[in-house]
Amino acid sequence: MGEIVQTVVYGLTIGSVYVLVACGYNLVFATTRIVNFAQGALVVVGGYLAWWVYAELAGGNVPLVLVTLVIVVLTGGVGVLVDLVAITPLGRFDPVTNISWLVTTFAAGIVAQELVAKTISDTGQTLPPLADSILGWQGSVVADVAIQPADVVLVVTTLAAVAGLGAFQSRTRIGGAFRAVAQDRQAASLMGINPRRVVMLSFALAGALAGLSAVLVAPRLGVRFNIVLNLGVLGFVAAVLGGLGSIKGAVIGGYAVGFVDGLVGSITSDATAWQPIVVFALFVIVLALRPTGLLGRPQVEKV
Amino acid sequence: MIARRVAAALPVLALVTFLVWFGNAQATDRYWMTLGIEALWVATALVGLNILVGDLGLVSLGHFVFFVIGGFAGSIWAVQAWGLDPWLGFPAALVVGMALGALLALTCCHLRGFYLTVVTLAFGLVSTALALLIEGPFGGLQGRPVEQPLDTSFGFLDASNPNRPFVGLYWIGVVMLGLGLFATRNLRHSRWGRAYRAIREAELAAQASGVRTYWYKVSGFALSAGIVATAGVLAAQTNLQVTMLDGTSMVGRSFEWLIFLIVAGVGTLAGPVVGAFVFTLGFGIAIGGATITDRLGAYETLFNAALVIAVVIIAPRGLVGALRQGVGALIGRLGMQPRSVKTAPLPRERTLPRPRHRAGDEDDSTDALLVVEGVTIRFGGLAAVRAADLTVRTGSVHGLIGPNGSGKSTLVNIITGVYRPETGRVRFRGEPIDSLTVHAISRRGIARTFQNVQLCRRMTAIDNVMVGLHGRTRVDLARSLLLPASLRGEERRARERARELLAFVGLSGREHDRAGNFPYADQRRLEIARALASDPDLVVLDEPAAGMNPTEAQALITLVREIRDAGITVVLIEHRMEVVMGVSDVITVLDAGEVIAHGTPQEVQDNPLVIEAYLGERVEPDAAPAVDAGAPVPAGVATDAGGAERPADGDAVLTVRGLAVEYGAVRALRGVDLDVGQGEVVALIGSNGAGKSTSLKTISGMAELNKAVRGEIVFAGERVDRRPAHRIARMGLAHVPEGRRLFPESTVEENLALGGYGRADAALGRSLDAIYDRFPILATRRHMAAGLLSGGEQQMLAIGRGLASDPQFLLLDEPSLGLAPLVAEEVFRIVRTLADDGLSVLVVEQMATRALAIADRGYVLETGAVVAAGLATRLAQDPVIKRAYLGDAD
Repeated sequence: MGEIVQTVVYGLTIGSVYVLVACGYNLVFATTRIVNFAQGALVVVGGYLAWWVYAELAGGNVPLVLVTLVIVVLTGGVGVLVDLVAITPLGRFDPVTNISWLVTTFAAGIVAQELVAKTISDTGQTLPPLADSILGWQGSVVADVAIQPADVVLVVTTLAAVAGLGAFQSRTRIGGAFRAVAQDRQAASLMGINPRRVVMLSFALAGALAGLSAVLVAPRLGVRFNIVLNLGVLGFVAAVLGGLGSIKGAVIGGYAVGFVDGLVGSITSDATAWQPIVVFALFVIVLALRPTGLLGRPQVEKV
Repeated sequence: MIARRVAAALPVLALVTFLVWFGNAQATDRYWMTLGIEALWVATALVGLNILVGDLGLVSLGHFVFFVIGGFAGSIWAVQAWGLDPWLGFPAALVVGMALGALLALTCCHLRGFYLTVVTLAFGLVSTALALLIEGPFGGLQGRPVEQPLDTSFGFLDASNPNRPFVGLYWIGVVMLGLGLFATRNLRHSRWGRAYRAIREAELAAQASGVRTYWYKVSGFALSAGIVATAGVLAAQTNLQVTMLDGTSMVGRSFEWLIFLIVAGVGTLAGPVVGAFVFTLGFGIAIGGATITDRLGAYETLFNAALVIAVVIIAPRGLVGALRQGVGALIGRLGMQPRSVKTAPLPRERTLPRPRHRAGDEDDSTDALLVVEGVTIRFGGLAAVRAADLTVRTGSVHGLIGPNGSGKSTLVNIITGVYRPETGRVRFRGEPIDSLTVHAISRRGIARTFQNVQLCRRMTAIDNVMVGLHGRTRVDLARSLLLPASLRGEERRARERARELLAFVGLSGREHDRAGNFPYADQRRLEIARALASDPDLVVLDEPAAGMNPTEAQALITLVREIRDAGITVVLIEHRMEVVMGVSDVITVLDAGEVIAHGTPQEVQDNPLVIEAYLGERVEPDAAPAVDAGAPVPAGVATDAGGAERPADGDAVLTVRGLAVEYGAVRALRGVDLDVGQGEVVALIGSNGAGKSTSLKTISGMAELNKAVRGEIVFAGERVDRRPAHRIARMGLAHVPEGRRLFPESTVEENLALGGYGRADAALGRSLDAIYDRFPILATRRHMAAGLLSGGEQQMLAIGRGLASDPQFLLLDEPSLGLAPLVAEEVFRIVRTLADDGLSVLVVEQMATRALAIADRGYVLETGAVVAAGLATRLAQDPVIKRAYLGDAD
């Protein structure tokens, strides 16, 4: 019983982190058909910015919710900077035949991290949870597993953010422009859509999402640099598992990876060894059955 | 010739000189020697990675695993567990690496792009985890020492040098890198290398040329992993220790290699060497001994990352690409043209020389070569082809016609194995082929061209044709890599054959031009040459005349006859009546997925069902072929439309003055002047490559050529020649571009809505209703993905999308392309009506007479300049048209 609850709690919380990172990948992928390898770094940059604003600038005397809003705006700006540094200068390019973006986005992530390390802090930090209590509830223990208000905030905020994102992409005109730019940038510009601005917006949203997730996960993972690769890699796995470009896919993929992670952790004593093995197996099976991920659209090509 | 050979040998000479110098000069310096060895193993690993990334176009984030495993296998297991001589560690690592690579490839080579990349990434994570679990042979986190290292005390080395073991390893590394480069150079000039690159450029076309793409990807993957593993042995012998890294470092190191390769120049022979040496030796040499780390201290990572971004942005094709460009520019400045850029095309070879006939071919000319029985296939609930029957007789030209969306291309895709029918059979020479793969069908003797041209755009014309010869050549991968001499005979024969085929389709003298740079009509001819290269018994041509002017279409008729005379059966899908009727022995007519008629051209033309469904009562089926192109308009198009004299005056909506465009060395436009007045239809005509589409693209801003454009474009009173396309579009200018450029994954309705981007919902809704009224078939396909529509439906959608913004000005590029005559007429009629309501139209059209029939005025372009202009009615009679448009016809 304890193991099941443990798995569910762990799967939902860690899964939410992967969902948010995967959505960040998907946003940029949707407009550019590239994978922004700076996404993991953006989360950590957001974490340090939040710590700096909250603990250093304000001395811990402002509500963290307010800080979060500031951070979302700031990391959105960092997202735009990544676009300006890593993608805009490449001009027009075909992401399949010219893979320079792979280098520039990855390197831009390193630059952002290094700048933070040199200016803000290069050691691990902590942030308090967004809420100590929800309507007076201060956490419970179910079958020996502690459930914190912060966990609930994390999951609920994630689902709300994802729902908002989904509505934005499918219901709004700009969302339609996102899809048009993704498919044929030049043709989109003939429709009166400014492709540069759409791409920049997608980077800004991806950055904002990274900032949001940074504050949400800080109570669980802390604010430190060595989570970048892990977040980046597993978020990417989640995005691909669900189907690149699909928001629903990111949710399914993110929680799937989270649950597998939690399940392996509760079954074996050696989770770090078994976790990638199980994820990989799951992955190969899913892609053998569905080559474009669970919800990815198959490529439509007329010959 | 000799000069070119010397120039080609220079980089090799430079590399050898550098390696020998380094090996001698630094022999006693242990620090530089070990760095040199590291550069050599990184270079070798990058040579392996380059096969995957550069040739096959696949990105792996797990290759570092092969490197580590190679170290274990080659220097520990081979000696300590398998009892092999330490020298045999290298081949052992190669074999183990290839096996492991093949294993990984089997699980992911059916995937595309990032999906494959993520599997390799997961592989990187999982293999380290597994290694730590298994522990024994890997030694856990501590790794294992190399207990019996190689004996590198070669006799020729200075025995008194305490650094001697490293010097020995250095020379081993030089030999290893040399072998790797030699093998990849050979690969590049072999059928295997071409097949790899063809997979990267146009996978389906590679399959249709007989390449078993999945297995080729697996082979390339295995080869790449094997080379990387071999490089790992050198690292193990140098460090005398092999350690499995943790998963994330493993991925990180793999990523690092990709960065080295991309920065240096992916896909180039020199890239791996340059990347390895630049990154490994750093800038130490230039800074004079102190490495970059010493100078930058804690800022090293930041500096490196920023530098990498800068290099990739400044030199998008990598350091090697930039260097090559620099040398090319230098040669150009010195006036030493490396190769004549433009050679006059040679006369076309009139007969298709067939090589040996297929064994066991009983040439029974009355025999049914291909039989399609009751074939049905559905897309999204719609039956694209329904219970279709077709019998193609040996030695005939079999026309396949039908209105847009009648299922012609779908049927071809079933015959060639792209789609699998739900019911029914397809038999070729009596054997069922409907469950075979695309490449298997190609090997049985069916070749094809594609409605949407599928060429390897970055490969030369002759290489494209040689891809087609893939199934006719035999050399295996091992010999391709290591024994270039064994290739020579076959390679020379293949090249000779490809040359003959290019000559046959009329592309002599352009063997070494990139396929992507060919004009559209020539790309179609090139596809025909590639299809013929597989020495087929049946060739399926899918709209070969699209985009061809009447003279070219006439030449195509001759070409098709000659293909038949060479004993190859032809299935021809075509909208151009003069082509189909002129060359077909038998014609099958499809309508809405069903066969509605079958017979000789005469019978089909007289069949009332056909006339009603397809040709329409008003069209003369035996309409004049090319020679009559300057003559009156096809029946049914309003000839009185352009009657009003309306010369452009002060109230021109669009004014173009002195427009000049250069792409690279090509001067696409050379000072074009034109005006379009309010409510006027102006036709822009000229032969292929005259600059018509370029003019439209420049006006709408689509070409994104701002810096390459000179002259002035004024639209609605404002200069627009420096404006981006989206701002011009918002001023009320719609462009229906060449190649339609629909959003294939969006539905019909979404496409139309995007056409009206920025308009109020109500107004857009009214426009959409009007568009559906004009093109009723679009209304029935409303929720279907645009990419699944037939060619003609796509064309209607493209035009509809252009109208959805309720534009003030419409640029139309080849509106009749892919449309059945009746629909084309309808489109022209609509354009005329819209113009009468005040829309201004500039139309580019291959069918000059048709365009001039609805136009008020026209301009004739020839090699990027206006050579004639005037009232459409007058221009239609002008001999200048015949010259510009038809070329110097015979």
